[in-house]
Amino acid sequence: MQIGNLIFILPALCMSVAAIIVLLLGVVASKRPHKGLDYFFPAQYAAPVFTAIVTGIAGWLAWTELAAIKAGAFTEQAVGLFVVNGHAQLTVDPFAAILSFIAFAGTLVVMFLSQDHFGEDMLHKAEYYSLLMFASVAASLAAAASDLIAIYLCIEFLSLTSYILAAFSKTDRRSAEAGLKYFLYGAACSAVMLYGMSILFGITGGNTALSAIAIGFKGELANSAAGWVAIMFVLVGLGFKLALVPFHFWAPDTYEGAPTPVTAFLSVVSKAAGLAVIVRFLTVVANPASPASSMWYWMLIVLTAVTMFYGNMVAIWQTNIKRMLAYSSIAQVGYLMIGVLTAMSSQVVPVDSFSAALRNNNKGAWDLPGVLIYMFAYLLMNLGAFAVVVVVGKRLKSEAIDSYSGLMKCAPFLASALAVFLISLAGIPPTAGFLGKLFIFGGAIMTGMDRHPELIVLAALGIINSVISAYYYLNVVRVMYFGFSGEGEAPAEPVRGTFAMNTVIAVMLFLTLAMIIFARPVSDMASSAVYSGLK
Amino acid sequence: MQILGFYITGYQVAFVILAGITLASAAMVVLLPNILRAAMFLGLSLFCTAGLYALMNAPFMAAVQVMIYVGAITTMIILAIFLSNRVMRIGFAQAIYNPLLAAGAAGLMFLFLFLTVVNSVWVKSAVAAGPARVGQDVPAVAQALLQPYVFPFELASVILLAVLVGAVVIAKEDVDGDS
Amino acid sequence: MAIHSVGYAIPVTWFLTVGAMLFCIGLFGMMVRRSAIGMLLSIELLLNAANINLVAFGSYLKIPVIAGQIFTVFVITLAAAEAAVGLAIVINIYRNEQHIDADKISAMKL
Repeated sequence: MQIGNLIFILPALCMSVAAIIVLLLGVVASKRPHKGLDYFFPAQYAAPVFTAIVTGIAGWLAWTELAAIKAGAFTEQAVGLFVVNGHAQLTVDPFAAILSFIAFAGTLVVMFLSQDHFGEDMLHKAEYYSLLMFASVAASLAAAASDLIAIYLCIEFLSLTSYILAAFSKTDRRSAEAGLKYFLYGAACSAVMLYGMSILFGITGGNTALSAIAIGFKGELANSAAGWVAIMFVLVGLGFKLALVPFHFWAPDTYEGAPTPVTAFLSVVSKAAGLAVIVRFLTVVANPASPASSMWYWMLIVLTAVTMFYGNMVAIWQTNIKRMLAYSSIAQVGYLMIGVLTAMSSQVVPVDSFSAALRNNNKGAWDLPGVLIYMFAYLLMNLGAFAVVVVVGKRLKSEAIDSYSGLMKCAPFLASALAVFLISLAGIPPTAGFLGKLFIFGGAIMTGMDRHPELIVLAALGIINSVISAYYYLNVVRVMYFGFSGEGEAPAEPVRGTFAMNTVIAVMLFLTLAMIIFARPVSDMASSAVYSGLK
Repeated sequence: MQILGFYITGYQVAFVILAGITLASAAMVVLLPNILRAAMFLGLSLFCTAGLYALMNAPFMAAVQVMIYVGAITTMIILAIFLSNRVMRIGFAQAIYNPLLAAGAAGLMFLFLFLTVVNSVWVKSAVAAGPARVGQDVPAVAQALLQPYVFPFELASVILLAVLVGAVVIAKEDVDGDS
Repeated sequence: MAIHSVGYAIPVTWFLTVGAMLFCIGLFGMMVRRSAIGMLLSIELLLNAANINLVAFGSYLKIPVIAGQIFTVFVITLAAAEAAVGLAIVINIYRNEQHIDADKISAMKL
C-alpha cells in the first residue's frame, strides 16, 4: 500500500488528532480553572472549529473524487486501503466519501446543539466533545470499511462511544438508564453479529474481506442453511444500529432519555454509518442475484414494510416531541431501506465487490443516488427539527408537544423553521424531504416496472406511510400555530435562541428549501458518486 | 488407549475435561442467583476456554485469554460488583419470564445451530482433520498484527483511549458544585 | 511439510459444538437474567462463543489462516472496553440510586 493513499482517510486521521487535542484541553482546564489555554480556547469552541475544518476536508475529498471521476482520472472508482491478499480492508469510493462527509457535517451540527443544550459550565465538556469527535471518526471509517474485522471494530467503536454519550448526563437518571438499556441490548446484538461473522469466516474458507467472502459465498453455499444463519446473525447487529423493527426496542427509551444533542447524533450520524455498512454488506455478500439470497431479500422487504408502519403508527400517539421524533426516525429508516432494497434487486449477476455491483447496475438508476440524497435531506431536516427542540426545550424546560402551543406568537422564526423541517420530514414539496422521497420511491417504481413488481408495492406502502406521517407532523404545526385543543396559551416570555443557534437553524432551513432548486446538480452529483467513471 | 472399542487419545480426554468445565461453569454463570459467584464461575469458564485454545494449537490466544479475559475483565466485573452490590435490584423487563420457556428456546437454538452450521457439509468440507501445526504461533500473530492488520491494530488503540476516558468520566464521582 | 497435525484427532466439530453451546447458554442468560451485571456476564459468554469459532476455524481450515486469531485479539480488546463502559454506567446508576427513595426504584421501567 502506498502511504500517499492515506489521504483518502485524511479526515478521519485529522479528526482523531483533533479529538486528542480537545481531550488535552480538558486536562489543562481541570488543573487551572479560570486561566490557561482552556480559558482562551475552551473545548466547546475548539471542537466545532476542528470539526468544521475536518468537514471541509471531507467535503473537498468527496468533491475532488467526484471531479476526478468525471474527468476520467480514476480508472478504478474505489481506492482500496490496507490491502491483504488483494482484498482491501477499507474501500474509499465516492459513496463512502459522501457518507463520511455527511457524518462529519452531522457531528458539526450536533456540536452546536450541544453548546446550547449544555451551556458553558458543562462538567467534563472536553471529554464530551472529544467523544463526539471520536464517534464521528468511527462513523466515517464505518462508511468505508469493507472487511469483517474493520466493520466489527468501526461498529463497536461507534456503539461504545454512543453508549457513553447517551449516559453522559450523569445526575439525570433517565439519561443513565438510556445508556444502560442501549448498552445491554447493543452489546448483545453485536455479540450475535460477531457469532454470525465467525460462521461466515469459517464457511467461506477463512476470509474476512467482503470481496473475498463474496467469491467464496455463492452457489450452493449461499443457498445453504449455514449461510442463512450467518447472514441472519450479521443482519441482527446491523439492524440494531439502524433500529429496524425487530431490533428497534431500545430506540424510543434511549432517544427520550439521552441528552437531546446525543439523540440527534444517534438518529442521524449513527444511522448513516449503519446504512453504509448494510448497503456494502447486502450488495456484495447477500446479493439477490444468487437465487438463494432472495430469502434475505423477501425477509428485508417484509421488515421494511413493518418498520415503516410501526414507526408511524406509534408516533401518532406520542405526546413527547423527542419520543415522536424517535418513532418517526424508525419510519424514516424504512424509507431509506426501500432505496437499499432497490439497489440490491438491481443486481443481475453475483459480484465480488461494491464497485462491481455498481458497474452491473443500470446506469442512471435512482436507487443508490436516492439513498445518498435522502440521507443528506434527512440530515438537514432531522437535525434542524432537533435544533429547534433543543432551543425550545432549554427555554421552556419541557419536551411535551402541548408546550409548543402558541409558539408561533412568541417565537415566529423557530416555529416556522420547525414547521418547514416537519413538512420536509413528511415529504411534502417543495422541500428536501420531498426530493429524497421522489428519488427513492421513483427508483423503486422504475426498477419495479422492469422486473421486481414487489418494489412497486413497497413504494406504494412508503407513499401511504408518508401520508400517515403527515398527520402527526402537521399536528405539531397545528399546535404551534393555533394552540393545543383550543386552550392555546402562549408561554409567558418570548423564546429566543442564541445567535449561533439561529444561524445554524437558518442555514439548515435554507438548505432544506434550496435543495429542490438545485435538484439537477444534486442528482447529477449523487449519481456520479455512484456510477460515473465505471468502466 | 482403547476404551470400548474406540481409540481415545490424551488430547481427546483433555478436551472433554476442559469443555465439560467450560460449559458447566457457563451454566453456573447464568443460573446462580448470587451474582458474585456467577462472576467467579465466568472466570473459570474463560480460563478453561484458554485450555481449549491451547488444544487448537493457538498458544498466543491461550495466553491472551488468561491475561486479558480472566485477569482483567473478570477482575473488573467482580470489583464492580463489590462497588455496587445494591444495583442488582435494578430489574429489567424480560422478554421471557419463564426460565423453562427460555431453556426450551435456547435448546432449540442449539439444535438448530448444530444441524445447520456445526454439523453441516460446508464446515466439513472446509476443514482439515487436525489443527494447523505451523503458522499459528506467536511470531505469526505478531507479524500479521503489524503488517497486514496494522489498520485494525491502530484503530483498536484509538478505541481504547476514547472509550476508557469516557468510562472513567461516567464512573467517577463528581464533587457537587465543581464545574 | 504437513501443515496439519492429524495425530490430535479432535475434530473441529467438537470445538464448534462447544461454541454453539456457549452461545445458547449466553442467549439463555440474556433471557432470564434480570440484573444489568448478570446480563453483562451473559454477553461475555456470547463473545467467548464467537471467539472459539474464530480460532477453531482459523486453525482447522485446509489452508490455515492467522486472521481467526487476529480477529479474536481485537474482539477480546473490545470486550475489555465494553465491560469497562457497561460497569461504568452501572456504577453511575448505583450512585444515583443512593440518593433516591427506595420505592421509586421499584417504579423504574428499565
